[in-house]
Amino acid sequence: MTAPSVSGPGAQQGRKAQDLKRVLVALDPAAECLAALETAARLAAQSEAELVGLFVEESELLEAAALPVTRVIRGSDFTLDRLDRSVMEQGLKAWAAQARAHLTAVAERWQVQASFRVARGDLAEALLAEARRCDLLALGTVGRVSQRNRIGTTAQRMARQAPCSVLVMRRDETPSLPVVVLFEGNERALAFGSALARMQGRGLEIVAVDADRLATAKAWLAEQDLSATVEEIATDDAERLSEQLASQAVGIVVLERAGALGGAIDTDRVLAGPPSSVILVG
Amino acid sequence: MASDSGALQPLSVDVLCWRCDAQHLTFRSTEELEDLADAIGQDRAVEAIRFSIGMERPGYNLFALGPEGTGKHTLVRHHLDAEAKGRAAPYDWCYISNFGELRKPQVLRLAAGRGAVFQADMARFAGDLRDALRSAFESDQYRTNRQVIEEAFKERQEQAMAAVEEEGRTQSITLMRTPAGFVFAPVSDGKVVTPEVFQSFPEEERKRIETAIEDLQKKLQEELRQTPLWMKETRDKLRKLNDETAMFAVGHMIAALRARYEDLPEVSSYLADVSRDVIENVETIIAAPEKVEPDGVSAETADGHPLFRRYRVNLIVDNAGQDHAPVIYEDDPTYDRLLGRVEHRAEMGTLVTDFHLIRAGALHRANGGYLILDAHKLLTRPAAWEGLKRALKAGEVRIEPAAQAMGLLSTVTLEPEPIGIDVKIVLVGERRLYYLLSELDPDFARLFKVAADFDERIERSDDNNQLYARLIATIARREKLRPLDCGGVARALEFSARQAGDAERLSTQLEDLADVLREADYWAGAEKRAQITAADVQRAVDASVYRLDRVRERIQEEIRRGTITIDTDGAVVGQVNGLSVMQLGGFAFGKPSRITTRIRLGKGEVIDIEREVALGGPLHSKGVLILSGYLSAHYAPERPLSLSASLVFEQSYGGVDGDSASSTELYALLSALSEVPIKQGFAVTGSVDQYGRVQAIGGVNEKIEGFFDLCAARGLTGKQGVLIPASNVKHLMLHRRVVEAAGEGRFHIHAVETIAQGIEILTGMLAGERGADGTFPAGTINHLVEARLIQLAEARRAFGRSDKEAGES
Repeated sequence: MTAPSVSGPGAQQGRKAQDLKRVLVALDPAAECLAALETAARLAAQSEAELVGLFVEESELLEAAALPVTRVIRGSDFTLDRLDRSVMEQGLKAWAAQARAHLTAVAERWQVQASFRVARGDLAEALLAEARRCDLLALGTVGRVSQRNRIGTTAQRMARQAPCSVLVMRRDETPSLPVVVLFEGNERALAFGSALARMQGRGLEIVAVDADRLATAKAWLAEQDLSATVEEIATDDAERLSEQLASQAVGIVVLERAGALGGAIDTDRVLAGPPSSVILVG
Repeated sequence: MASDSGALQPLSVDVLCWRCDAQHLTFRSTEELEDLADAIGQDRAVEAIRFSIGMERPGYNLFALGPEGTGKHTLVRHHLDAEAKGRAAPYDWCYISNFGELRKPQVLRLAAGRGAVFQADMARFAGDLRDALRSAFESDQYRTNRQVIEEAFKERQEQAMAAVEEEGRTQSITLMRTPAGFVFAPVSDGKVVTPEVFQSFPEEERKRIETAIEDLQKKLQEELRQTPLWMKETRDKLRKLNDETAMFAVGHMIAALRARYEDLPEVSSYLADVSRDVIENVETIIAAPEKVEPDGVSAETADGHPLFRRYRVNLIVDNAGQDHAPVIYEDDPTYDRLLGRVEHRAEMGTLVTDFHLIRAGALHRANGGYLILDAHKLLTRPAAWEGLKRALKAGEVRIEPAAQAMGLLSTVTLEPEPIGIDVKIVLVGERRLYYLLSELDPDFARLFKVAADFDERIERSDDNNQLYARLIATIARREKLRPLDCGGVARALEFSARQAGDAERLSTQLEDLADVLREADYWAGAEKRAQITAADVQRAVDASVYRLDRVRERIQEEIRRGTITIDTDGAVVGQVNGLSVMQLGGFAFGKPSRITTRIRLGKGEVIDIEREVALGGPLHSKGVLILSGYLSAHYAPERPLSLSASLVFEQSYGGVDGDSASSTELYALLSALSEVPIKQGFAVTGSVDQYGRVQAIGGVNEKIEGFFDLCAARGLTGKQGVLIPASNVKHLMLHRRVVEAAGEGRFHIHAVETIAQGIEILTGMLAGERGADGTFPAGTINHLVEARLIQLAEARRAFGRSDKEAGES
């Protein structure tokens, strides 16, 4: 799948098309959030928006630590050790510090105003609460969903419930694959798509749901002086489309949350499939 | 008493100094003369130089020996340059990384000019390396492959964990990743059970959960313990992938280089090493920063990361653009400058080095050609001579610190592979050094088999005069001086004869000549003349004497003021004016000395006071002992010599050596014995043998001038002069002022062959020859001397008898 990369004078004009003020990024101590953090920072920088990094100290972990029956298998040498609340508190503080360090480094690199927050409680609840004050929530995932992979389950939940646009970046996604926009009329989807494509030097492909949208997309591209492949969609069956998206790796899929088709796509399936990132534009 | 007329006549003016007649020179100006390509009068040295150059065997190095300023350097250089032009430019030499053992850099030999190309090629390779590797390692292909491997590892780990996790789920127990590690916790309704709820569980449920968790923990531990093994497998796979990727990235670069150097197996093998090393270090290369140090980067570190430096080439000898063999003169032959060195760079307070800091020495640069060194400098630079000998004996240069070569240093530094040398060494130095080395250094004769012995003088002939004039012309042109007219040349030739101290020779100490010509040019310029004339040359000579003769003038002044007593008039018994030469720096002058003797009855010894106080050298003592021999054999041979004479250089405080005063001392003795006074208007020089023959001495011109200047200052009486050995007449190159005075009969120079001739001039009395009756005629010096000696012998006998009688009674 190849497409012309997005360039030209229009690349600059389309700068603030996605119109962001606050970008929230869910920070985790592992490398899983890094791709999401990087992309969020660049999108924020483009819109001169504030980047908000949120680290959640999950209360479940603290509760588990307080149980008389729990022991910890240490990651370094796999030996068993006693566990209590204070040990877990300390560990979470260390994670938070790491997360903060990641945020600061990335914010400095892209010269974006950033703030760091720590919340305590349920991960998803905390994210949803913070997302209410933001335009975009970015979070990372490894794609597999299990109980252990809490950000994975959270990612699925955010995709469904977040009150703003949501970008779920797969850590293992291939950066050279194109951005595919399922265009149902919301021009912000086009704006996000072109911005992401330009930032990472990816190709841009716009799939319009009907002939009208096709024309709109073309007009929008012309107005922005951008080039992309634009085509009309072959199917309007959300089930089939989900199946298609879940079976092949695309770079980033841009969906409209309010769209008839985009809203019906099974994001759980897409995110669990071969590495593709998803942005749901609100 | 005989009249003066019987005595020897003074020398005629024309033998006092050779005058070069400008009329006899066949040119008007040196502009008409061709350059002289070769040195004059150095046939022996030239022959030796040619032989050494032609002899292509080890040990046939050359030692050019001779006094300073004889043109040794110029002549050697001239011949070496001519020979070198006919020989091809030698190899370029590079040092390269020895990847197997970095502290022992390897050497690479390339045809002249290819070294620089190879260096540029490798610099480009090193420069492109990181980008080539980065683009290969950032390619989708590589990422995908890497991801597959990494994901496989994770998958494996997760699968192992998933089984345990699944088992836990069936028992309502969840596995959590926490900052402390992996934790199993009971769940209820999809939520981790809080401690309060857990406590509300019945006892057996709590027990069940506890047992189940313990069981799960054990299982998970077992699974996790496999992780290191999987990690190792993963690392191996990644390394293999990296190797393949790196090979793909640099393979074509190396292949292109190998194609360029396929005629050089050493380069090919080196490139293979490079490619292996790149693969081994690929991760470090990719991770290397763009710049090593942001500021204060020296040219040495500008090459960037050490990893890239190791693929570069240190071209230590670059013969690009050379079309013939090198002739190198190392002005300062220190150990390092001769044999090369390994420099160090201060980095964060420590000294570090690598093969790029290897610097070539003169031996490297001269390899395949010729190296000229000053012997004196070489011998005075610590360890340099030993280093040179070691290199010549081994036929290779090994770069190591001098202290290490002497076994005094054992710190780890580089040990560059030695470079084979084929170089002809020419040492230039004084004769003394050559003889000392021959005597004291057993290696010397083996390593420097050819001596080019430079002569400091040549015979003066019409042909040589002409050649010398061309030499003067050559110097004038080389030094960009005004041309000399024929008068100037004539005067320069006279100067040269005076330098040689011989009217029949010319000096080959061209440095002095060049000095005079340069100074004459200066004076000609001051006079706004287009050519250098005799007057300019004379002025240059006089001015250079004037600049140096402060001490001479002070001594003359003190003599005139009477502080130093020298009589130049009247006649005194037992006192003669002697002449010595003082050498101060490059300037020699004559100094008159008063020599006196006193006689008394004694056991036949002549006491040399100078020797008694250790102010007289052995040659002087020898001269004095010869006097005893002369006296005892010449006078009253049948009687014991029964005098005690003491001889002294009055007012001499600095020591005397040489036997040039022995005739003078003999005259003093004869005067003291005969009690005939010696005319103080004369000064005497010359050594004497046991038969009373006067023999040649050195510095005759300076000695005569020294006495002349004193007499002239006091006013020439017409009765003054100097006695010199007849065998020194040919050496006379006296200053004009002396010659003029002699011409006017105001100063006399007598050449004597025997003591008899000398004493007659000094006393005005006949010496006297032993007659048929065995006695000297009455009224002669000899008669008086003999009579006195007989009288002394008799007195001694009488004294001895009375002594004996006194003893017997």
